[in-house]
Amino acid sequence: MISLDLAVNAIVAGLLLGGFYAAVTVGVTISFGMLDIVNIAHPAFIMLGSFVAYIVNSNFGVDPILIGVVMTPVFFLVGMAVYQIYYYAFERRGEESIQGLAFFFGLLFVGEVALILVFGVDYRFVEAPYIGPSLHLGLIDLPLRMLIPFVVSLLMLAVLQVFLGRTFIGRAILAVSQDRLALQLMAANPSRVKRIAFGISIATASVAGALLIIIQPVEPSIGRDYIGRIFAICVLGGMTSFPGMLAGALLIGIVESITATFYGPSWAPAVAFGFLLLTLAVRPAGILGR
Amino acid sequence: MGAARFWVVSFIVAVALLLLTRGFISNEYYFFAAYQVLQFIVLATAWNILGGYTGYTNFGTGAFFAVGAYTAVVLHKTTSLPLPVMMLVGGVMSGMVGFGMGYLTLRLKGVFFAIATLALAIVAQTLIVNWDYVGGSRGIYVIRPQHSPIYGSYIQYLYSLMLALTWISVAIARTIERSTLGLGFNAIRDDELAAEAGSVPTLKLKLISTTLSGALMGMSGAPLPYYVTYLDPASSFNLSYAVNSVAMPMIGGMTSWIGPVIGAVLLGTIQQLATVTISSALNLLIVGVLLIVFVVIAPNGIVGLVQARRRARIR
Amino acid sequence: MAASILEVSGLGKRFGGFVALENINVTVATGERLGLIGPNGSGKSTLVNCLSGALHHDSGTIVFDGRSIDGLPAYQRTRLGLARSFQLPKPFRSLNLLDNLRIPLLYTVNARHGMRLSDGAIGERCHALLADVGLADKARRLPRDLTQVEMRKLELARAVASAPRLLFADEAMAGLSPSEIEEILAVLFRLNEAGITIVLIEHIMRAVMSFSTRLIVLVAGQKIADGAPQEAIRNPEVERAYLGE
Repeated sequence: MISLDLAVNAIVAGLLLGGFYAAVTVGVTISFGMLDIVNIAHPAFIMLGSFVAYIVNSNFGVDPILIGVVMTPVFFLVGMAVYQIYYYAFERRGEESIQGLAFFFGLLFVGEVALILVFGVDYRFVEAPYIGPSLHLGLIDLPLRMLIPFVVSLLMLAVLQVFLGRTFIGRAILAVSQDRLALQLMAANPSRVKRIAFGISIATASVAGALLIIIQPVEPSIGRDYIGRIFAICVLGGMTSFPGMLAGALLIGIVESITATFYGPSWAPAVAFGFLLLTLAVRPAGILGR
Repeated sequence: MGAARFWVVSFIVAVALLLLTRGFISNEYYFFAAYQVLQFIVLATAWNILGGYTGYTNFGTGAFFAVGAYTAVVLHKTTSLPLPVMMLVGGVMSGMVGFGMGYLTLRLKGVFFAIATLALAIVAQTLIVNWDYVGGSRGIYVIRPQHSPIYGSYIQYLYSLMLALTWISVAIARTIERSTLGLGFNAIRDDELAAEAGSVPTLKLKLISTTLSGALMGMSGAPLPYYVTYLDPASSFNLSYAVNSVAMPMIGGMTSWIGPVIGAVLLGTIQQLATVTISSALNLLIVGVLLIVFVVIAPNGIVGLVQARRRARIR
Repeated sequence: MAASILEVSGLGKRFGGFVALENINVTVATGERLGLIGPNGSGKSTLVNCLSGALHHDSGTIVFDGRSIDGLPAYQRTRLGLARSFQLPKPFRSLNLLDNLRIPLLYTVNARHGMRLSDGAIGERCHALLADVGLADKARRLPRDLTQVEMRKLELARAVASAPRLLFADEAMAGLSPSEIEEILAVLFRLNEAGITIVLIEHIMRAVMSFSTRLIVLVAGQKIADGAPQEAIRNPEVERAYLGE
């Protein structure tokens, strides 16, 4: 029979993983859910965040999460630059579909290959005092290397939620995702707002990448596993809602964890993709769009 | 020129290429390299039928290609069918995968379709990795036959098969381009709702597109085991096939049969040179960067640039 | 030929919890000019989408020309003779005007029995259709070279290219100047005279009143009036819907 201990821990691990997945996905919720920009290269930025954390941590011993947070302005600027190119090339011309997709696909690919060229295909990891120890609450093991990213992820989500709801720019972002025309009438430039929003979405990758390399060692091609996860969670969560996305992330985290525990870890990535296909089949965007 | 005449002319060109190379080129390396370029022409052309003509971006090229390759492996282990027949069977298998994928995913809006193709590719790869009969993740060795059924070395034989397939693919693309089917594809690409309202059976046409595209990709993958002699999932499902099959039509131009050919010859040749002179990882980087640059600066590819030049001169 | 070309019974459509259409009963007589009006959000476009097959209706039946078309995909409805034009013109942007019309022609011609036209005949018909709406001189241009009213005309021409018996003209005149409205109306009158039953969905009252032989009013997903135009608009509920309480 299924051991209760194993099952409970699988679920808990899944919850913690799911929280982290939310941090990974929030960037795409902003860029794709709110701004309608198909940034399938988001995993590449996350990997970049991981490797930046790796370099600084292995050379200077700085805490990875600190690195991730400190680097957010840099990633923000990179995101704004990427958006500028995207805007100039596609959005302005109104021909977004296939070429825009190819653009981001190219970025994803170039990102991975560049990382391979610089770092090779070996797994890299960071060192931090909380990687290793666990908390024990009765039956439940809470590895700190999962618990801390979980907490940080939720914090980041909360900060973003507040930002979007309370600040002018944040509300402008929400507005532009819903009604571009209204925003123009409000005398805010939609593309400027979108640029900032996209910058924010890439900035989250800095933190998410740092969290990733805390949870597990990374190598450049891991990004690919995340494409399916990210979009599955985004779609499951209803595209624009943070709470929905969090719920979706937790769900996928739990299912993946249970699958890995009882069927072996090599099937875990397939779970997310399977979910994605299922979600798309049941909640199709359909011919008439969402 | 009409479709029939194109088939004839292109056939003559293909035969000429075949005879000339047989007569004048003795360096085996040419055939190794040319095989790759021809393979890319087929992949790019096949991709473009679904991508450029019908407007659906497929990131799962690797899966169709690998299905063809692994079909050949299975047939090689269980039968002694000649390679052309294996190619046909590989095409049928990939075509079925294309049909199935289309059926599951074609009600999805553009980007979801693209991501679903990526998802399916990864699922297919996972299945193959776990299938020990074809070597699983360890890969499998295939012995290249000593003698070619026709003249010359076995590599020359592979080259001529791929040349034949290239001729067929390009001619098919050209025929579709000017046909009712092709117009239907374009309508779907430009505005699917309006196409459906205009009595175009969109689902049926999309399925034709994915099936045909997948089948051609599979046929181009079938000879691969004999070409590389060592086949493993990591290399056969490699994302580089996906990137190349997207980059080549984009850079060449997606509206016409000649775009993928130009893109494949250009990029394929560059990659052959790069792999020899620099590293193979760097050469992939070049492909990716070229894709990005072209997509930003010349979204209609080289064909588009030429057309724009021509229009400007008329004015 | 049957007296009524379209019979809609009990049609309903919901989006999640929102009821877009409720118990819609409409009969369209062959050859008539039916006007369909209603405030924004009343369900007019949803109704057109359900009838043309772009959306699946949740309840009720649709009988076109004596046969049920429930569950038929949109392209088959068009082939049977039920066409619609789009509110926001949706031309095939990479194709010239001739090819825009060629597509519906090819795909209805090839499906209907014994109507196989040669390439030349199809080309001629495309030209003729363009000439009917005054776009003959732009035959080889791309849609992006067209003015607003020309795009509307192309949209109508494309709907007509499939040789329909019933045409839903969905807000073909929104945002046009009075003289442009007259142009479109003239096209619609001509089409009706040629034998096409037309359902005109419009906001522009002047146009609807002058065009329609019968008027249907939709408010909040329900049909609240159905009859001669002058009487229908005098219906107190209609007044309330448009002018408020």
